[in-house]
Amino acid sequence: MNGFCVLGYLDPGAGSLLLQTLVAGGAGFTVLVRHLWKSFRESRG
Amino acid sequence: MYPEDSEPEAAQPDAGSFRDRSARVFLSDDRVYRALSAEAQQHWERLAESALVQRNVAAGSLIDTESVAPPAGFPVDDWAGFVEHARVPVISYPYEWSFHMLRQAALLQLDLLSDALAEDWVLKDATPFNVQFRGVSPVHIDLPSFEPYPGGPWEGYRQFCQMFLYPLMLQAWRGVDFRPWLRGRLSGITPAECRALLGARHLWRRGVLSHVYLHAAFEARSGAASESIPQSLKSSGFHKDLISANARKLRRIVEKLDWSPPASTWSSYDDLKSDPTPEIVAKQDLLQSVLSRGRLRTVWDLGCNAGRYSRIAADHAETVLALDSDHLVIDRLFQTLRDEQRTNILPLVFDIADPSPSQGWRGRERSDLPSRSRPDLVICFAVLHHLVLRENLLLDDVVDWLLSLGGDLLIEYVDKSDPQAQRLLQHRRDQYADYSRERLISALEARGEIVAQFPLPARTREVFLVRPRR
Repeated sequence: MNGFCVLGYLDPGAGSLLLQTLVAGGAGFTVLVRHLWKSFRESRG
Repeated sequence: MYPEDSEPEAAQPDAGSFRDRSARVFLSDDRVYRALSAEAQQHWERLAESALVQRNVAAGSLIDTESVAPPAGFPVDDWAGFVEHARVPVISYPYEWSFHMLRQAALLQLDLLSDALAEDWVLKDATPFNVQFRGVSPVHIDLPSFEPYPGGPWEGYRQFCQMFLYPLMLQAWRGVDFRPWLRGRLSGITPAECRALLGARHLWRRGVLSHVYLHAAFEARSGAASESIPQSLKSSGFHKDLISANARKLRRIVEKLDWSPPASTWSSYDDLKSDPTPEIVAKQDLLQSVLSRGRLRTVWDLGCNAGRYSRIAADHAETVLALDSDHLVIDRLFQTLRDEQRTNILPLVFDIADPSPSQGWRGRERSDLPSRSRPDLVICFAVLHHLVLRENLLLDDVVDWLLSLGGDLLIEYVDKSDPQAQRLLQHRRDQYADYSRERLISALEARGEIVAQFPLPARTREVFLVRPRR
């Protein structure tokens, strides 16, 4: 499968997707920080 | 395994299989087919060859499945491929399971997820409706749930929490029966509801802060998921090892959850270890004699309690449904049967006076028990007087329902003068003029034929074998 054809028939919930970075442990926290930084930069244009 | 010479009748779509457009279940007599979209067919062709499927089918964790030609009556143009699944004797729902049944199903779900990730697959959902029980062994029945892992977080995480984790946590820690919750809403318990029900005093327990409190907080601040989130998380470095780590942690939480209250209303009713009373011996003997007439496909044991009669029936039937309204009774029976490695008794929590309804979309997505299982024999020992004298059901109605199930009926009548019936009437006005031996015989004869009558040693009790009029 190339890239994403998400989301499927199920609404996984935005909060639930983000939370998985935290519940997975240390490496996940880094992913969350990167994601938030990217989101912040995009919101600033 | 599947007969090739019999021509199936026109297959009908299963009313509960439509939400995931990638596949749909069709039923034809006793055979279960699944039509697959082009993408699902591609996945299946890869899966069928994979060690993942072969290993889990061999272990009994995944339903046995093979590719087939389109059966008669299929709308062939709509689908790219067809498979046939091995039949599960009786479809059951999580709101009919006991605590340890749901826990067993949750562990299976997590184990399959971990196994799938190791081979670059993932389970795209996590609903207990995808798990069924063959006897007391859970099996995953939804192969289209397996998809190649696309990167990013697990889409089934929220569903797993709502349908497995929260119900188990609430039952284990708060004694809140999860079954009415799962029956009341087919999507389960939300993080906010679980947080409210657990309260802050359980915050210290493993998994509560993250899977419940933070989950509820994250949900409150976010809405429905959009494509940008998983894509962004993937490009930020989210990989499958994070899902595996989460699955391992969830497994540790789930396997430590336990529910074992000391007693319930009926948990000490039938002690299999002590000597049986003359009534019990007589009922065991007459059940043996009825069952020895030939092998049966399905037997229902209503008010099964510790499963005394279910075990006898299991030696003469393909499947026995051991049904009781007492959750703890069924939970203990499930664990005992697992220890005994019994393979053909399915224990379910089932209240005759308040049974699982047909419900969901158009009232058809989930069906009532008689729509899922037709018994050849119904054992109804020491139940009728409870239904009439305690639950206030009409005797005529009860007999009508029992015989409408279609199988022979073995029913015990307990006279009002019996000490057990007297206990039921002790603190209530006797408004039950319809409850008498004569009325019972009249009701039975109106709907069937009384084949035999067996008086029991206590003169206040009697068993009738009745064949419904077909």
